[in-house]
Amino acid sequence: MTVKSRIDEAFRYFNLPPKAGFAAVAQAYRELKLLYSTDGLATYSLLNKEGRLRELAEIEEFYLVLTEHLTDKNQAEPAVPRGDARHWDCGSGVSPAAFLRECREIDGVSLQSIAVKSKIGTDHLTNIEMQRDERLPAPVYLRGFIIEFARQLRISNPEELASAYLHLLADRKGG
Amino acid sequence: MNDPISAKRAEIMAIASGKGGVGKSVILTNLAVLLARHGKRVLLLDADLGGANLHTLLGVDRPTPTLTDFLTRNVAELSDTIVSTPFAGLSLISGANALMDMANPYAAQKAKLLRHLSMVDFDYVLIDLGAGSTFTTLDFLAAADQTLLVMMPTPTSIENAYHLLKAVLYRKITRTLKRLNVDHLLPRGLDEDVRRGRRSAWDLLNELAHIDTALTVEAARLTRRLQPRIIVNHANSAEDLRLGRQITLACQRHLGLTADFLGDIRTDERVLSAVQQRRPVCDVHPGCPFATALEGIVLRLLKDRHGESEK
Repeated sequence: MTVKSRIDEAFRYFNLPPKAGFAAVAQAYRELKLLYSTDGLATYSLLNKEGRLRELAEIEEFYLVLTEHLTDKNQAEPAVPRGDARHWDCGSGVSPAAFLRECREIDGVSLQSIAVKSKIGTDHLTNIEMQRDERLPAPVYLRGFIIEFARQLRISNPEELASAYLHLLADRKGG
Repeated sequence: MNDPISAKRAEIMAIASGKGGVGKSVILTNLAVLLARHGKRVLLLDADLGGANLHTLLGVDRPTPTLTDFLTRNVAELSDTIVSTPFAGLSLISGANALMDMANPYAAQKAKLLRHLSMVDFDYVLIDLGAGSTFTTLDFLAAADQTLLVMMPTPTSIENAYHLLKAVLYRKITRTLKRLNVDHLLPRGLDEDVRRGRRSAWDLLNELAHIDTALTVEAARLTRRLQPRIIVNHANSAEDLRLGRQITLACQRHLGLTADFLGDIRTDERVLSAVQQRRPVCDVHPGCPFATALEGIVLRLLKDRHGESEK
């Protein structure tokens, strides 16, 4: 299957138009996760356990397809001039969360204004910045948020920063 | 919609539920009173012949004649069984005093009733049906312009509601094939699976579409005609309030049906007190949460009807 048809299939799976943005994709993802959750009243009599697990796996898979697609698309059309870009250095000792906050404060922009541009809720952005681990969404979901947050702050390596963020989060939860 | 005659014909709405005790009759009675209050001419038909009680909910004592008189040919015309109610604009065909063997009228009786219903001079005909998937319920649902489906946030109520939808769809498919004289096309193995609930009626439609392209068109028409409008009664928690939307999603993803979520109704103890007084809730306690929720649903129904006539 080509990448293009895989992306189309993912949009169809979430019942979204191919132009849907990050916010719509995230919303559809959250809604379907709830729909197929183990104690979901609306689907329990329609599906057996295997069917439910298959749906949940598909949701994650298609969500990944779409977040990658949207990230690629956003990088092809940068929101801010690249010349301005700043780089997060994993060896600097500054945590990804601290780097996000620092960049934002240097720019003097509020979380609200980033929320408007990125279509990510202010509460999510705050939780990411403050590292409120217990309030963060699922990693697959969080990854897209961090990438978009970093992009809005003209950080040149948003994926690297997001990966490091998730890595540190997993360490904290594991330890 | 494109037929000029159907624009004048009454909108036939049938209300059903997968199981009993979810509030179907009380909801329908109050919807009827509210529609009449909006100046509509409304006919309530109590076709729950095994458990008719709309006359009691409206405070109409011993109505005569009743639907039974029409079905047993005591009266020739359905219009002769229409009685008035204490509410302006609202009339009733009662199912009271049904004969003990009347709960499942014969196909010919049902066809005659539906034929007569299409001729009555009202804006809305609201039909109350027995709970569950009896043939009478399925046939009225299949014939109605709109299906209102009431459920509660309980697994049993939702499970039975899905079963009802699958059963209506299956009955629509088999009847259509019969009408087109192509019922031999029904794939036997798959048909058996659908009847036993191992596969869905939706699978059957897809299979038929592969067999014959003309059937694809027919299948699309069938499912378009069956767009259940969901009412969630006793929706009290935040989780319950998500249910309506989730059920429409599930209908679309697993039954191939475009459902529409009409509204939530909270539990309201005033409903019981009104029923005990044998009066509609929106009459005894106007402005209570139950009456307010139903008013919201009525506005939706009126808007749709109005929007449609403009096309």
